[in-house]
Amino acid sequence: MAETKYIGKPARSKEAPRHVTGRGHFTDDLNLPGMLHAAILRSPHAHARILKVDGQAALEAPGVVAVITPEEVKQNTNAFKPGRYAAGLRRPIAEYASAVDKVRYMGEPIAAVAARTRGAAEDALELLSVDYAPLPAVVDTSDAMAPAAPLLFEELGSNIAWRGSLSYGDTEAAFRQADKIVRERLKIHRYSSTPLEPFACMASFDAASRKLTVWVNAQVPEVIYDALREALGLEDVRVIIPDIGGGFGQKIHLIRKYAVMTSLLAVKSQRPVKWIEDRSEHMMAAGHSCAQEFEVEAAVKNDGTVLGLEFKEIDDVGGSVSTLTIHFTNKLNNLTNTYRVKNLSMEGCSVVTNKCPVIPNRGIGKPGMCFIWERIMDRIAEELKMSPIEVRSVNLVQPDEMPYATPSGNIYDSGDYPALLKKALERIGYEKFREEQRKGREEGRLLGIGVVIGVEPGGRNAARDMAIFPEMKEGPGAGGVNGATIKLERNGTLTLFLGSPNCGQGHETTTAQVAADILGISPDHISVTTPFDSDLAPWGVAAANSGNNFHLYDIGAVHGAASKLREKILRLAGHLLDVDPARLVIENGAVRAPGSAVKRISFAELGRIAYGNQSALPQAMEAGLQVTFYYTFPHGEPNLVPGPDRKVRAQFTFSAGAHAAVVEVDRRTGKVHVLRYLVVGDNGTIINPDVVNGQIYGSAAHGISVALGEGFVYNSEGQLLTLTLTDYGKSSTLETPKIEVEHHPVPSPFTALGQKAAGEGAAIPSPAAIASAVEDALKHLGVKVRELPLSPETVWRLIESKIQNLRS
Amino acid sequence: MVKFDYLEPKSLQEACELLERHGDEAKVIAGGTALLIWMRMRLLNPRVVISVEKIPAFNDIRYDDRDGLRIGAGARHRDIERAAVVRQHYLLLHETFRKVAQPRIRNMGTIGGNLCQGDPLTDPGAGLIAMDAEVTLVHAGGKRVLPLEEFFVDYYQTDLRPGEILTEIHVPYPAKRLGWSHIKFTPRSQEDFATVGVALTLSGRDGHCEDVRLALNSVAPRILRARQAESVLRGQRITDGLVREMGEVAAREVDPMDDNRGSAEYKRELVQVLVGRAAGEALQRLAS
Amino acid sequence: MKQTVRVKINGRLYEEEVEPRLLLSYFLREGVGLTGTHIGCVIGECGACTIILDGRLVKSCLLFAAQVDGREILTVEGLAADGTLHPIQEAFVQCYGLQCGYCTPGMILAAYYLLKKNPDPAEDDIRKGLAGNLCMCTGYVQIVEAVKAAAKNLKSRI
Repeated sequence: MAETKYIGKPARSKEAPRHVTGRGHFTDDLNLPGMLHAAILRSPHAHARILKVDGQAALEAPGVVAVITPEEVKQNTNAFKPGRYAAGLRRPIAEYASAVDKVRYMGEPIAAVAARTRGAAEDALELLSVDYAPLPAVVDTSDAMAPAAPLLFEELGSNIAWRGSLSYGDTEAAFRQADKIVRERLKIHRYSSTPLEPFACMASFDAASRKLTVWVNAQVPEVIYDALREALGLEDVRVIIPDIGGGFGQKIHLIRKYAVMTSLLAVKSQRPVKWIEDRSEHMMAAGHSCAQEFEVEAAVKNDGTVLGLEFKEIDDVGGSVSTLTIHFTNKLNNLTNTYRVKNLSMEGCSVVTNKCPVIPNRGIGKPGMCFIWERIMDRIAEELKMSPIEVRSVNLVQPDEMPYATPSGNIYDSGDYPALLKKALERIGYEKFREEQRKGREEGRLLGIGVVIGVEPGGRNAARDMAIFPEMKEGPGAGGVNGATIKLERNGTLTLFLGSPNCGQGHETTTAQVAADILGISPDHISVTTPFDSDLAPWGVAAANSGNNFHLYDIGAVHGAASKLREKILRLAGHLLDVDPARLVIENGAVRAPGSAVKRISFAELGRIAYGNQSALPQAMEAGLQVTFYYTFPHGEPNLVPGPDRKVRAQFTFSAGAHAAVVEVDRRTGKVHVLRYLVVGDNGTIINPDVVNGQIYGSAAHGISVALGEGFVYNSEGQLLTLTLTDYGKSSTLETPKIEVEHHPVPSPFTALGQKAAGEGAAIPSPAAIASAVEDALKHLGVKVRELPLSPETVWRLIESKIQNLRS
Repeated sequence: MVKFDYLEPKSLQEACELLERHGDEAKVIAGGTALLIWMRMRLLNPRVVISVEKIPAFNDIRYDDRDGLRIGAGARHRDIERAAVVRQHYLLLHETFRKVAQPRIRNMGTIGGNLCQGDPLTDPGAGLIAMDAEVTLVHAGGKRVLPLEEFFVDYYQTDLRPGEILTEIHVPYPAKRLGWSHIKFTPRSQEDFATVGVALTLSGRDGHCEDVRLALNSVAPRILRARQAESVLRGQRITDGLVREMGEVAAREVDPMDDNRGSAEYKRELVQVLVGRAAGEALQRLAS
Repeated sequence: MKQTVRVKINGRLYEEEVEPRLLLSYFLREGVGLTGTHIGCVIGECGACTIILDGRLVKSCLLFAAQVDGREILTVEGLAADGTLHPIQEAFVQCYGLQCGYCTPGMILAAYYLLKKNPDPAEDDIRKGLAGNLCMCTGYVQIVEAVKAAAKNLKSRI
């Protein structure tokens, strides 16, 4: 695209000034007069019937104004309607904001109290009397799936809450034609992105007008909006989303329960109510990523070509059916990764267990899919005695095949996977490292390198899940819609209203840069309003700070709105200057005719006229200089809505990254040190390099930490042992390697600026990169890495078991 | 946490009297870093919190060439880490305190608070035991002095009797030539509690061990001194074989728990490995 | 029984009555109205509540308000003078040393404390100095760059 002044270059952050001065507007920073503080009572049991909850003593405690119990939740609210996250649910299972008859995980919310001070609310929790009948807990999927296992949902008749499969091409033929079948069993564990700011919600109900206003740090306004309207039966709901202190998918789904509970307290007490959760509450009940087990088979030719892939997965979805299939369905997004394979079949099985329900944590299902591919590629290399680089190279989709149609219906818009791999090998010094590794082994040092590659899909298609659930009665929509409004103010500056919330990914800065280039004015003169306000924002089904939506829908909407405003500005200026608009130039916040010193009009003057001087306006031109534009992806066909062949555009754009990890393993303690970590990324046209780099650094750092040990641990009674960030194993500056990033962008032909996603990013391939590197370090011992996390003890055991075998 | 009254006695005598008067209902607070967390989780619910912050000289660090080091119980970990006399004469302690949590905690947490909590996962105890530290315990009617290795009894249980306040830690003047090592093994974050912590000192010359101290944390219900392991090396010529044996004996002498930082089996293995590495480091320092 | 707390915060003297169990973090945020100090874990692990007390870096969630009677506190709000960003704050803006901003006040004060003690830190020193402040967004790379830039800014200011 043409040389741009702002797009592609660093720009002064619009968000940073308020944060560095401590003036961010997080939900807990807000207060309303007369506000009460809420506290929530949570189940200490992993599995139990709730026999009775008596809130009377709590209600009489000093400072307490309202109490809600499960009985009231059942009577005064409606159950949530199962949404697309519960696609596949064959029987309706009512789920309310709180547990009602039964608790199914430690930490499940049961009752709540609103009081004048936080201390009084906490004191009152102790006075809530709950009679439980504890039930045996099923914690492992194998226990949950056993024939006589205690059932979480009796009405399902089994803890296997869903089974399903999907197939593309002809895997049977592929497996018949194969020279070899390579098999592997893999496991990934439960973890989370643990945003630093916990859930927070403030609700205020105006009884006279029956309007509920809620401030909440939720990533998807629609989820909250629908939840409040459906659960509380209210028509007039306003959802305001202030600054969010990290989301990563954690603040999408279960947070709706707390919005409803807080709102219920507000309605009951007739006062505004604020609820902020504790860190341990967040660890117990905010949501976890899904632990998954895979059985994988690859049909390969002797030259390394993968003819077909089959896998079976078991998803441990925790104590709710409301997110039953998301980790399976999301695999459609990166199903064939960067590879040309034409035949693929997958079988899924979702098992409920007495643990925290799963939620769409960063990447959902896609890290698992990339783990499957990249581990099987290493295994294929081993069994065919080829290099892991060669095996990958043989299978990569080539740049001249782009746009490339995958067997499941995705169309990869652009990419040069061989170039990414090549650059990664060069920059990490692959050949030189092999030499160092060899020398190191002689000295007793265990060095290893892992090189992996993964696509990063972007831009949600609301119809995707219909590929797996064509029987979905209520269509979830198709494609995506989101808007932006841009307004030229009467002082010549611009204001931008975005259609979605954000969690600090630089949306204000990035969209201002886009608008700045289109409208010929510095981003310094563009203000981007936060917070998201459902009454004012132009939002649609893609108003979700998730699924890598921003680059497509929000940038698309801003681009569209700014372009239309530009056109109107030129028309008005052309009229006022008596010049053909096609000859006019916009720069530095003014419109002028080239070659004339006098034919010039500033944005401020245009604003004054547009908003105040009807006699100067051209006939038939609507007054004002404000445009709202709703964007939909113009290249959604074919396969926007899946047909009988189940092919679907799961997502619309495809970034990619090649990762290289260099590790050293301490032979005696099993501790893994990451010596180098490199990402070579293709995110299409980069609008703000610092923002994009930030997403890569952050997502890579998390994936590395996940691979090396952070994660949730339950005991056999379903008690969560990792209730604090330290116990959970969060990495600090000392454990996080200095991540290196290189760019090799290939613009998308389908988006306005060629931009592709940068968000979920490096979280998708990084666990596989570490697994590959650790296995490489221990290869000469015959160690195989199949499971995460690779805590020191796990690695130590892997080594010891091999050493024992070698001895005997 | 529950409501409580906050008292600030101006002298040690006053603090002891308040403690005696309120008995079980009272807890002493110094830095408060550990106490606060327990109170927030409602694991401890004192009705009276007695602060020792206003007692004069309670956080002093004093040293002289014959008596050695006297650390007031109110001294912050950070102050001990950075004290010139510690950096000069007690390198093992400097290293130990440098690794306690991180600077923000070290700025607030006190050594007295740490020792009285009796948490077997924390770092200072092992280093101090390896330096033959003893503690002074004062009550309204008098005082007593106890070797630190006898002060730790069990998980979160010390020999602190009702009405007593720990006022001082005394570390005798160290041997002229001392090899030392402190190793804190954490599986992930360096800011975490140790999965295994080892503090070791060696005295001797020409490859002969005159005396040795080995203390370990996180591998038993209390921070312990591994006397059996010590006896393997004491008075002997130091060989690789004996060092290995010391590690093996230490691995049997400890009593670790299975928890999410590691299984008991793994922790015993780590003790063996890390005691060996600590001995190597200590020998190097002894030789130089 | 309430305690009286007289404390200087960012150069200004405050006198308030507090319940003994009120944590310093809540006192700053709600009692005084300085919401820049954030709460991420409330048990002293994450560093979001970091402030400077009598010149030392401490975690405000691990202190009772009553414990700071007669002392002096610096919060992130006390750094910028008359609307001009402190060089450390400016460095964080320029180097994009934040994303969601929740850890930022604590990080900036940790950087402030580090640079006061060590005006010319190497990368390792910076990582050690910030090890008590968790960030879930950035992977720390640009934060470290920001502190390096801040060190330069401060040196050239002299």
